[in-house]
Amino acid sequence: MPEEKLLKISDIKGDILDLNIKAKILSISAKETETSRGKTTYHYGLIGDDTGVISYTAWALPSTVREKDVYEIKRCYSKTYKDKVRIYFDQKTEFKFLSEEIDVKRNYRYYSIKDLNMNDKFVAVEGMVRDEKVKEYEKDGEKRKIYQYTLRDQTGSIGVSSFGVQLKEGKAVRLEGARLDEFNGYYRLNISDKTGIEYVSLNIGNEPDFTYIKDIRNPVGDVMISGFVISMGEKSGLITRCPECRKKIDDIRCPDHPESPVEYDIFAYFTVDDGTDYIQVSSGYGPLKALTGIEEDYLKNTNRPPLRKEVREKLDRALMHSALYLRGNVRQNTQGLSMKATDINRIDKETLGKITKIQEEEFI
Amino acid sequence: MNDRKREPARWIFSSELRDCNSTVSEGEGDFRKEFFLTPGGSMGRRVLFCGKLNAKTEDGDMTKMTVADPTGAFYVTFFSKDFNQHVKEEISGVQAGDEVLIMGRTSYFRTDEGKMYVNINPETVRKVSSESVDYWTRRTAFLLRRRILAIREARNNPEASIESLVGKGFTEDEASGVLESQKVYQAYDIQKLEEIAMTVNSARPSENAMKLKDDVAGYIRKFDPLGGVSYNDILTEFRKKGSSDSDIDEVINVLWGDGEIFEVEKRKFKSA
Repeated sequence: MPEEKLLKISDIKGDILDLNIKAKILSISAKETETSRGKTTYHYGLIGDDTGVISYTAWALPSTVREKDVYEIKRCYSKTYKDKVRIYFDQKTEFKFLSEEIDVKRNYRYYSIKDLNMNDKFVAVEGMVRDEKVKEYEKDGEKRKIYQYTLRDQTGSIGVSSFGVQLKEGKAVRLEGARLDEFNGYYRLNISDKTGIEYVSLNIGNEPDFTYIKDIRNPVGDVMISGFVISMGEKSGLITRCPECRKKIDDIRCPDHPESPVEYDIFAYFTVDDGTDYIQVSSGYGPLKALTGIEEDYLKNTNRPPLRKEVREKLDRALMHSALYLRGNVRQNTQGLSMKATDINRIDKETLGKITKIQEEEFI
Repeated sequence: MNDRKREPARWIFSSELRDCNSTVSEGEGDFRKEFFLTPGGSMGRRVLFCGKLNAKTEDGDMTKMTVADPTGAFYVTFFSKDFNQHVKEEISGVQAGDEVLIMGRTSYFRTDEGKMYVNINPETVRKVSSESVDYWTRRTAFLLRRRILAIREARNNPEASIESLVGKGFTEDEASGVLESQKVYQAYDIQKLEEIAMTVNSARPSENAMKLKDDVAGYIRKFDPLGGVSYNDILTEFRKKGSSDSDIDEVINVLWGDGEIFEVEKRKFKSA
């Protein structure tokens, strides 16, 4: 009987039946699912060889198959799912344990921070390391450190959690195999001792590049957009807050701190359209201060408390009568993507020149 | 970008809307929606544009406005109803000569000869800065240039599909609009739109337009005793002299913007 040919992972392209490979099981995760026959569990993870790494789904997996072991795997198959090739194991698939070690070539796709997406959870990214925060926690009776950073490239920024590995703040870094996850509508990268860290030379300006709204497909921090405000939320304007807990108060006093006097603040939510698409934006007082000309004294004046109508008119004038450029963080919520503004300005001649240059460059 | 229901506002030049002679319908009965489909591959029911408010006339509950962008004029008609008093207030805040931004829904009427006119029912009218107008003009030219590239791709490859155009870097929205437009406007000379997209970034009138300006003004003046001259007659006259449509459009726009001519009725001009 002729020996069945073993395919390398890099040669697996498209849909192949009766596939035979030699690979290392890099990870095994289980997921429970409900089918017409009741609850069932399937497994998924990554396998790799010296040519690359690929995801798998195991509809059936022998209990003897373990992570970090090398197997000759016969009669599995590959299929393209969401534009990515994936390997599938089922009842027909045979696993033969091999007592040998193989080198695994990790191949992570490089992404600009703006383009990170949950379809690819292990990625390569580059950016400037900023805003270090250190937290201590205890695991198995041992004190450990978690380092938190912001990683910024020319397209946006993302939070980074590093378990035990300290990065050099202020330096540009390339991370290979960082794990992407999502929490509370924001993306975050996690790095561990398995993540490749290389310090590189990058030229990153103080401001992110302008992004078209059509190109914002996922949560991303610190992006810059431009456009017109095409509608403003009815409840935009003067709001009251509890100075103790900072919560917005709809009543005359805070239910949790009824003794505290209320404090005035400004909030606006609106839709920005740049011709390519539109996005919902919210903003607090900070980014609106210069644009509206509303000073803190005006909000704090107890002799003449601010007037709702007056504030709303100032907001309308500031936001509705000029093309704007806005910087902020985009998060995913139940309504889709929305941006929380950190800076809002009117488009002036200089900014218009920058935007035009970016537009022109697309046709060169 | 989001799974949203809001109808997008299309940023297009007036000349692209003027050359539009086709609509696409969706749904039936009360749910029927009619979208304009331009030769430049823009499809929608709402437009957003900036320009100079050249005329504003009120007649009872109706207000008519003409707004000039660098390529021609948008025609806006507003009917005051109980539900749109905020728009009425916005309209009263703008005057002829102001630079304005208007967003509105489109409606269509067709002449017996089959010519289609697009009217705009405003939802938002506001005075804006000249930088804002420049921003709109340049962004609209950019969007038009992208669609023109997609049209060229589609014309060069009859097998072009939404997927193949998206693969070349166009958005799904651009790809579907362009492919839909090519079913109707196969013979349309895209060169005209390309010239607009390439030259409109310049705020100043082109050299050609400046050379033609006095001649066109003189021609229009000749017809003043007859109550004005139609846009089509001006085109016919100056085409004979070898001028391009885009140059003639630009001149009319410059004369209009400078207040040297005005529109006595739709597409009929007279000296001021």
